[in-house]
Amino acid sequence: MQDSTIETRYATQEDLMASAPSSLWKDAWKRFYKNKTAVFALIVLLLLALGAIFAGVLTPYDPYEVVLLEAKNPPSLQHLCGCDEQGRDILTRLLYGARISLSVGFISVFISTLIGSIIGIVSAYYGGWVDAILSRIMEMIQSFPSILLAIIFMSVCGRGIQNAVIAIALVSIPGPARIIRSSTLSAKEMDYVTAARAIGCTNTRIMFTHILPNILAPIIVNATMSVSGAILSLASLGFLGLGVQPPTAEWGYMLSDSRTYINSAPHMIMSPGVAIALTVLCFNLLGDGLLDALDPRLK
Amino acid sequence: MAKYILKRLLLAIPVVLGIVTIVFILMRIFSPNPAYLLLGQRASADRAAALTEHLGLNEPIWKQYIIYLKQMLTGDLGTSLFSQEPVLKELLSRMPATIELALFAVIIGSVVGIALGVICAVHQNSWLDRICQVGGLVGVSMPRFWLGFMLMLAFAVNLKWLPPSGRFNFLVRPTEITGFYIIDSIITGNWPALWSTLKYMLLPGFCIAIGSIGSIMRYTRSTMLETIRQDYIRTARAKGLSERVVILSHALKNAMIPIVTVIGMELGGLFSGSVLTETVFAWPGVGKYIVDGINNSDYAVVQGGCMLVALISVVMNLLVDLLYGTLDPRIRY
Amino acid sequence: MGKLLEVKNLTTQFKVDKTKIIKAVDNSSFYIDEGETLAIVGESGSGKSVTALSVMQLVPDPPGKIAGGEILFQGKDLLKYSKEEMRAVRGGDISMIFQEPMTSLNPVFTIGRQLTESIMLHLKLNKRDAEDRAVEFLRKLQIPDPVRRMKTYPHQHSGGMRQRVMICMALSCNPKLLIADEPTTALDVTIQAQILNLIVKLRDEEKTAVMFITHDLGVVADVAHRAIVMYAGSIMEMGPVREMFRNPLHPYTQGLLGAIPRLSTPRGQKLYTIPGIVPDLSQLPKGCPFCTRCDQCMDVCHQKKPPLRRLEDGREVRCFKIERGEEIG
Repeated sequence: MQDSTIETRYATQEDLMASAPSSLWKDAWKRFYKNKTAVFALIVLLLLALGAIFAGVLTPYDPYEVVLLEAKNPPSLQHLCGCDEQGRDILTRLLYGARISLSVGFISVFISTLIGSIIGIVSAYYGGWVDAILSRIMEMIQSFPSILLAIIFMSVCGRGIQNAVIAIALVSIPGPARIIRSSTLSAKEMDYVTAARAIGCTNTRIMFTHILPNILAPIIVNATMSVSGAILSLASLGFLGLGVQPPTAEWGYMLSDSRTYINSAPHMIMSPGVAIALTVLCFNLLGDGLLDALDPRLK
Repeated sequence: MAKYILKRLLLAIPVVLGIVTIVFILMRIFSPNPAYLLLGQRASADRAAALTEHLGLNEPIWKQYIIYLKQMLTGDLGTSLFSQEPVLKELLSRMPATIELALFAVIIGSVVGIALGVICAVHQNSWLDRICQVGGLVGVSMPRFWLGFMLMLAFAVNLKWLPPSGRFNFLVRPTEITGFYIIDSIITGNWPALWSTLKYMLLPGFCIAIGSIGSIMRYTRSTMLETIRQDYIRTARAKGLSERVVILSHALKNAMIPIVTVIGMELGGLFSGSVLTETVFAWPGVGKYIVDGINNSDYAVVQGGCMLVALISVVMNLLVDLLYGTLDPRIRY
Repeated sequence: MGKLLEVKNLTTQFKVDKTKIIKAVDNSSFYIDEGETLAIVGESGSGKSVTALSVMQLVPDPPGKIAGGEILFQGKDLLKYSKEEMRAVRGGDISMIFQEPMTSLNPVFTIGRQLTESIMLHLKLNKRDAEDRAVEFLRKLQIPDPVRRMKTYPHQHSGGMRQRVMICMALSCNPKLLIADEPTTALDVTIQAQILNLIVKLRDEEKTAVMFITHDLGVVADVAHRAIVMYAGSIMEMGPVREMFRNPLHPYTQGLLGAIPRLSTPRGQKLYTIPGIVPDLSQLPKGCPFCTRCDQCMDVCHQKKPPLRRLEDGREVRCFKIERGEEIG
């Protein structure tokens, strides 16, 4: 009798938790939910994303309007983060900058993960010379420090958001490719793949409907961690004058712009740095949390 | 041992080739006219024609590649648009500054990172451990160039303990022999110069090191936690050895084997990170040279500089691999 | 002969999670005389290894903890020793050999370094004398070419050779008590006999007392004077090996002995096996821990745990079927 009551309570709690399709994801969500730091990071990132999306509504200022009278004003009630050298509200520029950082981060990681996953899964599944060639190319790209490769790319192609996305995506393809390759290699030996082959599935079908869902966990974790890397790379490029075109509000560019005033207006250099560090930190914490939640064996 | 070194050297060749090839592909695919990329858009037609001839740009692509390879491997990295000097010569004169700073940083990073990691592993889940774990993650997440400004603001602008930027003080500059100022001041016995050199290196060195401290610490901690659960650690304790000897000698020497690999990976990052840190601290090294090249739209400088830094990190990784071989007796040469 | 080691009411606990604590060793008392070999027998999970680690105070803490009792070594309670005093005992007066020769030696140090380390520490010898002593012991353990072997690393040796090095390490500081925790379990059968013979030979030469932990009753008959049978953290029976083998008192001991194939077993007769498995220590039955598997179980066995009784001839047994002797805990 007692057993059954425990069971029903357990079930209702589960129903409340999430409407995930399978118990695997439900379990993962439960584990993630217990990790307070990761949940905190997720909330901060969601708030940041909302702030970026609704930047136009949230702040009364224009990120590009020059008000020379207020130039270099320290933080006040009107301007929570102060104003920059042209009197633009820094908080407003940070919110607009978040749009760029987050979208460049997500898009470039999406591209690199997509291409990297295809390369990884194909080279592991087919093996032989396909694997040899693809792996050598990945090793070549990887041996080149990624920020330097991005610098060369940007100085050949010129600055701009599009090129920055391509550069960042390009240099981060080997990461997911390598991870997916090794996961596929072990997944390939599983019985369900043999079973799929036995009932006559095509190679493409086996790769993308049988193997891929089973190696999603490392892909997701890697992608989350990569977003933080991509945001850092964009900021670095911006700082070096190779990112987006000025006067676009972008965190790295804002930082680089304000360094001249490090003595006279140190508040200007604080906020973009804090914004970058906080965002990157949250993505790292989120990635750590996802790693624990999705693959408890790894801890 | 000689065989092992030779094997590692041979394995480095395709990596070097790969680096050169990627730069070649990028330039040929994405640039409509490499001659104008190198000479600037306003270059005269004569000079463009001369360079086109020199690079063999009218030849088929595979021949261009061979010409390019030959030039790169013989050290012909082109001429700087800005100074009209050969890029290789300018790079070589700046290389010691970059290597010195990066090695200084990796020493700080390894010593502090390993020490903290061991302490955290021994006192697992203590408040110190928790602080270090969070601190390490924050250290990894902070953009190094921003951290540089913060350090500068704190220690140079406000406290005035250390010089804000540059590499030397004109009054106590060491005589240049090797270009490594620490070595130069020791050779010449110029102690004031050594002291001054160290003071100039401290801020940029620590700025580069802080990310490495974070990752080396986290890695050391997890490796040590795994190592101290091994049977041979129990054996060491059963012998009656003091906890100090058990941890610092028996456990750490085993843990060092994987830690050294991570330090090697960090080294590559340290050199490429020099592009950012040297700019912040006006450190006259290869990284600053590359950024100056970016600002002057001096492509030959950017390309040559990036390639050299990539090469240095390959060489450093090689050295770390050799160190690895001496640490682990199970490696067969 | 006096008692070298006397363990009184030892209880060692492990914390499983925040609320659950299991007793891996539950209120156990035993002793070892000087020069005597005591075997502790039991299935895996019976608490025999934890007993050994408790004597050495090497129980991993957390989660483990010695919760109560006394461990008297030459009359002094080791549990009251400071960390430094205990370190001097470990590897000196009491030394230990472990089950896994493949992983019990440090892979990055030479055999020589690992041998001389404890000799220099406990016998206060300088490096050269320590090396000489190590070589001498390697020779005693019939290891060929000992001088050259001092400079080799563990991975260059087989499991049997590594276990000899472990034994050499344990005996080189003249211990009064050697704790051998399943020293032959991980080895090939032929090597097992060699290693056992070496331990017995050196024990007799050095007059060392041995606490021999094993699950192999055949080995017990070969090496031990007295034996303790442990089950689920409690001592079930204790007595001289010969008498215990001839006339086992506890149903568990009877079961264990019945499960050994013998030449005298009639052809075609099925080998006896004890039904069931060792219970989870966190879900022990209320009464006798063995009641779930005992073929002579009575009602009272489910109600309360039987006391350990000492019989007139000095043997001890924990079973309600034995009603002679005095209750000792």
